[in-house]
Amino acid sequence: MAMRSLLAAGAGGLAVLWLALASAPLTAQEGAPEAVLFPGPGVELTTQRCVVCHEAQHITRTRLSRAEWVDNTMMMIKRGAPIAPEEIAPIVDYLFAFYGRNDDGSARARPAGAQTPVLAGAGTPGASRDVPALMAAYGCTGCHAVDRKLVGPSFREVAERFGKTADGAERVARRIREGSVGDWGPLPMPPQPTITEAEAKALVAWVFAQR
Amino acid sequence: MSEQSRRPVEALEVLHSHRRAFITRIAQVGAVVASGSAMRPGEAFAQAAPAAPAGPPEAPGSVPNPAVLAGKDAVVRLHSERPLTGSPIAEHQNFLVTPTRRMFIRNNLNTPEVDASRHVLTVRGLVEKELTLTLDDLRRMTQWSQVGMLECAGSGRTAFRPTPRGTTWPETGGMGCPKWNGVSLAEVLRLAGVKSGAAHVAFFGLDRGPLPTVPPVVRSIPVSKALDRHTMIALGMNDEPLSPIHGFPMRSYAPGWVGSASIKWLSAIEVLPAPFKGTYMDDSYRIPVRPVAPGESMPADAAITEDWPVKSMITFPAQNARFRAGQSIPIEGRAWVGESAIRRVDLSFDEGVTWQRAGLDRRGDRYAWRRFSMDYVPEKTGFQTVLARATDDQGNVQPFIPAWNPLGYFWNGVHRVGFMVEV
Repeated sequence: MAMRSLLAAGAGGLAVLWLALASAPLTAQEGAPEAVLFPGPGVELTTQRCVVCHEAQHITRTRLSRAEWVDNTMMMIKRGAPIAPEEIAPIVDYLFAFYGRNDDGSARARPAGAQTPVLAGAGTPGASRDVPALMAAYGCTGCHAVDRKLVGPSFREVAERFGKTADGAERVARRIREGSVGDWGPLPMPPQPTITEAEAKALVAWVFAQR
Repeated sequence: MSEQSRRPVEALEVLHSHRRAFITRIAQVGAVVASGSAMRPGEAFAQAAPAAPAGPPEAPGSVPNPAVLAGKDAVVRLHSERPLTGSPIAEHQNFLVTPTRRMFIRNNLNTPEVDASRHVLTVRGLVEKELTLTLDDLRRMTQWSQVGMLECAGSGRTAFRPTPRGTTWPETGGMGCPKWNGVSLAEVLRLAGVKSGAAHVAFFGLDRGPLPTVPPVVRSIPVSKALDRHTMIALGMNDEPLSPIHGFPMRSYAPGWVGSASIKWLSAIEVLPAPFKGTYMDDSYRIPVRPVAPGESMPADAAITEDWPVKSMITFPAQNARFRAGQSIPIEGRAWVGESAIRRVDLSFDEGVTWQRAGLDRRGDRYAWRRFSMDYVPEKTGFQTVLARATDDQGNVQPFIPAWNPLGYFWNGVHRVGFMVEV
């Protein structure tokens, strides 16, 4: 149980972290794989458990057999992925349904009605073209949404609480890079040290614009 | 591998107990401290390392990706940001010695920012005397250099059909041949005194993952390779101190072997009675010993990846280059092999029907790639191709398509470049 809650906590944590960037993610290029996963059954869980550590392109550029997705999921658990035993099947089902490969090597057709993913936050106030892509790249949206609580608080809640104080931007920017716990409950947000200070500032500016 | 050699080693138990203790502590306190203090793998072992601080998270000790990339040329194309991987393709690798700005990047975790003045290397396990060495201690030992290959096991992976999972290395990306400066690992092991019963030597990296559950990067190699005079603790690359992305302040270098056998940000060396048990030994960097069908899972008896098979690539011309009819084209490339030597390289201008022997530069350092070349005057105009195929001194020849394997390792297929000859 302790393990379980730690894992969930870890996933939640990373999330808030990265929010906006002054420059586009380094891998975001024309014709590149999608920066977010296809909507469908299991997408939230898969995003929370995988995109917490990897950009979504690790999945969206890939087509694997079911056996390979199982192998990959099991290996990632050994590498520290916060996936509980009962979560393996729904994650593999999702991955194979949307990023599967047929035995003849061709890409498996996605379920009927599958809709091309849209970057969360696109078109919202203050969103430069780059911010949503950046958030997706760093997995912020795995645990945070603009207007509802997921694993972590909504961006709007963060903006309400910290956007009004003089040092709020600095505090949130630091939490993005260094991690935090206690502001929103016992689930920690892990540190995200690869984000630069400038990037964290840009992310905060965007989050604060969601009030 | 024998049953005995698969026996879990004590180090893993130590590691697990430390992880358990950490996880328990986290659960009790209800707080995740900075991953830097939490899962720094060396701290579980190095006596001189400071204790993990309680209280607020320490400053993130990782180098941001943009800072890493500032040290790389734009032709080093990124394959992923988390973890950071990137490489230049063959046409951007036309060097006898790979410049650091063109050396490929392959992280498993974040890039740690190591304080060299506080860094210690611990040597322990089956040794007469445990050692704790600082960077200055290593600098006082005999320094030497060699030009040598480093190549990720998955280099060229995307050339496999179907493409296995893993870093999307281009067909000619994921390798380089810089100059390595440092000390002989054998000298360090002699100082410690390797005891009888030693079979493997494990290397522990200081890199940390985004979550506290992420295990450290640990890989072991046989004692015979560890004691080979070419195996190093590298302190520099191309006569400069290692940059953070390449392992500052020190790393191991096992020349000719898959990149995972060379551990960056080296914090501990442990002499073991058997191969290390860990995810970088058991779950990846393995290759089937018998053929498997594409899509099949890794067989239980798969071997640990070690030395690279014979390989070559064409570094000039670039893909889709244009030339004038009658112009001589100075075709050139590099050939290498893990533990044997290149005997010859052949080129084909008719898709592999006939082959012509290319010129081969004299052999340089033992593990360096070798330049091959041919001045070629096309007889026809239009689109043409050139193929390169190396042979080693054991008679091994590059295949057109190497055997598919679940993790896409050891791509060494014949490289083919197309070019246009215009009137």
